[in-house]
Amino acid sequence: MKRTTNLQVASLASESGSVRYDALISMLGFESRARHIARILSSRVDRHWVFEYSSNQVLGYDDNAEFYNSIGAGPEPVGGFHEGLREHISALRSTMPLDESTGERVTPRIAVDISSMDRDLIANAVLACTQEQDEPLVVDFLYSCALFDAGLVGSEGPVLVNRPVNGLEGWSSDPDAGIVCVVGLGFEGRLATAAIETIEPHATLALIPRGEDDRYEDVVRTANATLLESLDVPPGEYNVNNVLQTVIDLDASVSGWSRRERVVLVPLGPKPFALAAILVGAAHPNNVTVWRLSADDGRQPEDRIASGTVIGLSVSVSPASS
Amino acid sequence: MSDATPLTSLNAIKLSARQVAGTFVAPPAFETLLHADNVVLTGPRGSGKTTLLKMMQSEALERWAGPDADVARDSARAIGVFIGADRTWNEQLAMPGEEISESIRTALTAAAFTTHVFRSIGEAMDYRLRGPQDGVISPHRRAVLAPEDERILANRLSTLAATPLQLNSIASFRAALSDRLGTIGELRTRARRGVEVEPPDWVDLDCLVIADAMVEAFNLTALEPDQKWALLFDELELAPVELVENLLGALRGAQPRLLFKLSLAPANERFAVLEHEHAPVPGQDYEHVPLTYARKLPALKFAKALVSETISRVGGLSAPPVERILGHGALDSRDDFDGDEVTPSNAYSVGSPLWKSMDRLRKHDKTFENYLAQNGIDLDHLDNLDPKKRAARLRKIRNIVVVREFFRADDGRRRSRKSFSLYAGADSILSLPDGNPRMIIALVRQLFPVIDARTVNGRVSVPMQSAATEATLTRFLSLLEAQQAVKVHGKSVALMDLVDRIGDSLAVRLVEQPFSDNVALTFRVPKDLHPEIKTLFIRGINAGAFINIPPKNGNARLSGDVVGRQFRLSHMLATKYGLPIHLTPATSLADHIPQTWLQAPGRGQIVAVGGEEALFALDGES
Repeated sequence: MKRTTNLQVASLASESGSVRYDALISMLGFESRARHIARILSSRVDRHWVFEYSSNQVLGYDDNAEFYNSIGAGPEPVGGFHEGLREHISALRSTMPLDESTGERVTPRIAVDISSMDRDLIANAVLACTQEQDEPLVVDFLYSCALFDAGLVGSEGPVLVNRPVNGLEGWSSDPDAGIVCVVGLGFEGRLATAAIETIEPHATLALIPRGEDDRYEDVVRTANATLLESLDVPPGEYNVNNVLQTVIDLDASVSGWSRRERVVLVPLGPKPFALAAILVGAAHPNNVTVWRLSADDGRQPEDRIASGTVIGLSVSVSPASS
Repeated sequence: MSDATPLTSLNAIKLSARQVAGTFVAPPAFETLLHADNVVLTGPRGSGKTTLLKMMQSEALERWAGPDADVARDSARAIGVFIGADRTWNEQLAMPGEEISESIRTALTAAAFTTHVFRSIGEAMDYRLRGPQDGVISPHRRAVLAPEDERILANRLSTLAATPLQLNSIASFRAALSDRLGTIGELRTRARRGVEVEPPDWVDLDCLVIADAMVEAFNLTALEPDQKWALLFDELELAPVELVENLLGALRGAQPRLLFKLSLAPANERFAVLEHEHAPVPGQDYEHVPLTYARKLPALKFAKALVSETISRVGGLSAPPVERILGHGALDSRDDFDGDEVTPSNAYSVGSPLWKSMDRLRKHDKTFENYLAQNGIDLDHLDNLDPKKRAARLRKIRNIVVVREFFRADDGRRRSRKSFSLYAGADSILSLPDGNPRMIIALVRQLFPVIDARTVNGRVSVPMQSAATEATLTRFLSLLEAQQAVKVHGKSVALMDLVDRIGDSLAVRLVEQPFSDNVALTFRVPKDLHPEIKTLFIRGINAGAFINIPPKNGNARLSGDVVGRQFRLSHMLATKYGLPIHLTPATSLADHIPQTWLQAPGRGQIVAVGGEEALFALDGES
């Protein structure tokens, strides 16, 4: 299968502290960190597109709602996220000024705060901003790291979602090929096991997140001890704070494996890994599937408080033919 | 051998035909599968469906060194064409997304499935002509074609499959079909992006008609006009409904050269198609081959064979009887107790371990003491009875007493104890996997982390057997926890919630209620079960948590509703709740679950999965 878009990844331009965005996409939910990025970028963003969860309006929700209200960002229902984002981007293009040298409209630059998105929403955001764009676009995907909380359990309830991420089922021209499964581990040992039991790979690579707080790693190793013991290959690691490198490494591995085998990426654990997996899945329509497991609304809401660190990467999207 | 191998690595889906042949031990169902024309193979996860289908391929048969291998090669007259599937492929076939119109989705899904079938046929043809010879013990149905004949055949195949080019070899035919699968993926992506898609003509090819024509072309070229080809469809429960119904309907045999061996999960709404007036008839159009063992004996026999074979193969040693390595346990291993006594008649003599269990129980369980009195059993003077008469009186209560005494506290309540040692001993521990080869192998790996002369000549201690049982149970529970939960009255209910409710309730019934030699530890599905709980129950059947118990002389009917049917917990789960592993009478499942998991009276009929009553493979036990 052919790619429909080209994606170029780079480190965040926003790290310079001076870049302006034509728009910022945020979520209005119960996590306190849901407003962190909007707050620090508010003076550098021309438009806010905020999407509101309809359930679990608890914990930090009211404070977040008050903040977005104060900056004049009226929330839209999350049910229309994918279509709404596409329409917003389309409308944004028509407002962009003309580049005097080329006579074409200036490429829009937008930022997407994935901190409070679930994996389906991250996938929707990635697909809307990449595969579904016919013209160039620059997207900075941002993630607000959270303070460590020993009481967090993650998505620990019964498995309610166990399927490919919408739009990232991939396609296999050889259904008999073996499956290599790459599982990004998190606090949810049960989900990782469920993934492997469902997908039935012939080889599994587990990846452990390494980040700014070593305590996360200890919890992850403990939660997944049984699974880790059962794997033939020792787990790998990735640096949560370096999404760009994670994308590059994952892309390199997947490019090789997917020539002969099917690859299923299971992005449990920190969302930066989910972002990386989804970007790689979007870039490889052939033989790569991104899988989602979740306790869904069976999980208890847990507040996540911004640590102050914002990470992410920048993606330049251009049509494959250009 | 690693002691830390995941159950998933034991999955034949990912093993090649020759790898499967290297470790294959034939279960009782293999012979039927070999001899019957059309077969519907049913069994829960890990029951060996994929292994059996893969063993029907020439590549596997040629390399199998088992004791009955020559007979199998002679009996397998059809050319096996394995058509694999898995969850990932079927999710892709489903082509979710509101952007794709239903007609395009149906056309592309059918085209992908058909292309996969054609490609698999091409692969089987290619193997017949030029499959590798390494490891072949005795060839199976090889064919030789002159290059010109192969070119003509490939031309004919490409015409039948409507490939854009006339192809000159089977290999290029297969490659063209791989390309076609890629094209179908591109069409799907374009449709999803809102681009209008004009399906090519080949999406309308009739899968089975063309498949039959393809094998006819091969037969004519190879001068084998009567050669049959068996299409071996794996994991059909995951495939789109229309495709499965077409295949089940095809069991009537409309294609003269094609046979069908279809594998499905045991609880399956797709079987509704076999209920119709003109549906294929079991015993006439197809044989149903279940891989579920409600009763222990055949499962135990197979487990022992598999253990012995594994020890011999891995250790390069002649395996002694497994009873010598694993010993005898406290539980009677038979399913029921109306047959001949097999327990040594001195097992119940005064002072024996069994006698001590009964003696301890009567001292703190008044109801058991009453039972003994009412039945004229005087424990203190058992030696006065003829040993055979004594055994005849006591064998019925033996397992119940052993388990009840083990778990009953002085206050009559159930106490929490690890119970795995109860299930030690060859016949008990090897009954626990219910004949499920994946679980048997997992258990063997725990029992024998290293296989050498010491293993063969030694004995696996009870603590080691307990640890092996616990480790295998833990992995089985992981599988059950992986099953998708349902929502009942807005609350998530996981399969393990249901299993725990049943297991705990049965354990209380066994230990806390007045002693009964007929305690009911199996259950029947009530008609007022909540539809979502019914869905969960069906997931439990297909995962191997619940085992159907057909009537002892049940016929070979394939379909039927779960309602009214008798089930038990799997024996491996019995170890979690401390339950005996012999068959007992049934009570209603409703006695073990909350009222909220039942439908309120007067709410009408159950709305079952997929809009129809869920049907499943019931009777005809192996």
